[in-house]
Amino acid sequence: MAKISETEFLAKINEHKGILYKVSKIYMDTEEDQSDLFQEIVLQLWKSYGSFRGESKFSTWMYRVAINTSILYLKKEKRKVATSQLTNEEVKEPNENTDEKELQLAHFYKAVQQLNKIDKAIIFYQLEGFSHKETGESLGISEGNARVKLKRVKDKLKELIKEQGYGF
Amino acid sequence: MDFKDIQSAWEKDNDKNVELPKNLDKIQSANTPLDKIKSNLKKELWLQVFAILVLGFVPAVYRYENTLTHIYYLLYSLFTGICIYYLTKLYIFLKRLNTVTLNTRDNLYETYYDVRLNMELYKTFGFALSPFLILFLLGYYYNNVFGLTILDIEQLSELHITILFVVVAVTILLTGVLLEWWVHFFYGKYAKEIKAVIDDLKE
Repeated sequence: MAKISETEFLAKINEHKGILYKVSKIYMDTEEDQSDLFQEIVLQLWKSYGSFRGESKFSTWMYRVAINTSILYLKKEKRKVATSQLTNEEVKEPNENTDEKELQLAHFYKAVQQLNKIDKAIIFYQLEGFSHKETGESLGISEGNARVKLKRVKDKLKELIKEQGYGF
Repeated sequence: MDFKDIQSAWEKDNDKNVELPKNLDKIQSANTPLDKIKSNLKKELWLQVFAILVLGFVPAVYRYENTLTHIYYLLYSLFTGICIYYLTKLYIFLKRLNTVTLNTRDNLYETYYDVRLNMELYKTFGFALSPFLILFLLGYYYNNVFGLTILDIEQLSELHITILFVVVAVTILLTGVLLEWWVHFFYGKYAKEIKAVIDDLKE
């Protein structure tokens, strides 16, 4: 792979920044933590870019690094207490300006915080349109295991969203 | 709501306000278990190098006589050789710790076993140094309290020598306990966290 400058790299990442931020939102529940994780992902992508050989699509490689970084990421100690309080907060009820989709996403993001790190990865790959086979390859598990885990994660999410009082 | 709704809301969720960092060098990376391990290990490596340098001046500071100085530096050279061997291995480990590009399972296993292996390496490093530490401390104690050197060992009574052996054995044992605790406190808890994620991956 030819050497890439920092500016070129940032321009490339800029095209995918939305999806990287979604990863941060799945793994972290406060804006501050999400922003820290987002930066960490960008940094790890930059550090690992030399190992990208173009054998897979750039986006597939990027998802893998983003998920692996998020799985090994720790919340900052000071924020742990504040965060646990936040997960008990109610999702704001819709007003005239709140889009229904925004509300659904808010309930989803709140529920997803209660999943373990691997379940979060499974649901992320599902939402990004990965097949069971591709999810299994990215996580290093069998296709069957990916399918079973996805079924369990969906059931768990359904329960969690119902507990929030939102119809599912 | 069903999963189709979530899928469609997810696809429409495009946060255009996300700002990319302007300068990658300014991002402080210190919040993954690996970063914590790296940062702890880096601090320790510098402390060890500093300790080796300080120990090199002991005979000059305490004005040891010639024979004692020679014995001291013989031990010191062995001590330094062992330190260089282990510190180099730990430094190589530090540089290698970056495998986020593998699939998640391989990445976690590789990282976990690398960390565990080096935790054991760290413990053997501590054990390898403990006899030197004991000899340094005993030499210092006898020289300063009784005015004796290691060469005057025949002047010690049998009881005194027995106490000496017991003290050495207990110290080695305590070193082991302390090392286990130290490695667990600074490195083990992070390894445990990685292990927990590996367990979640199992069928």
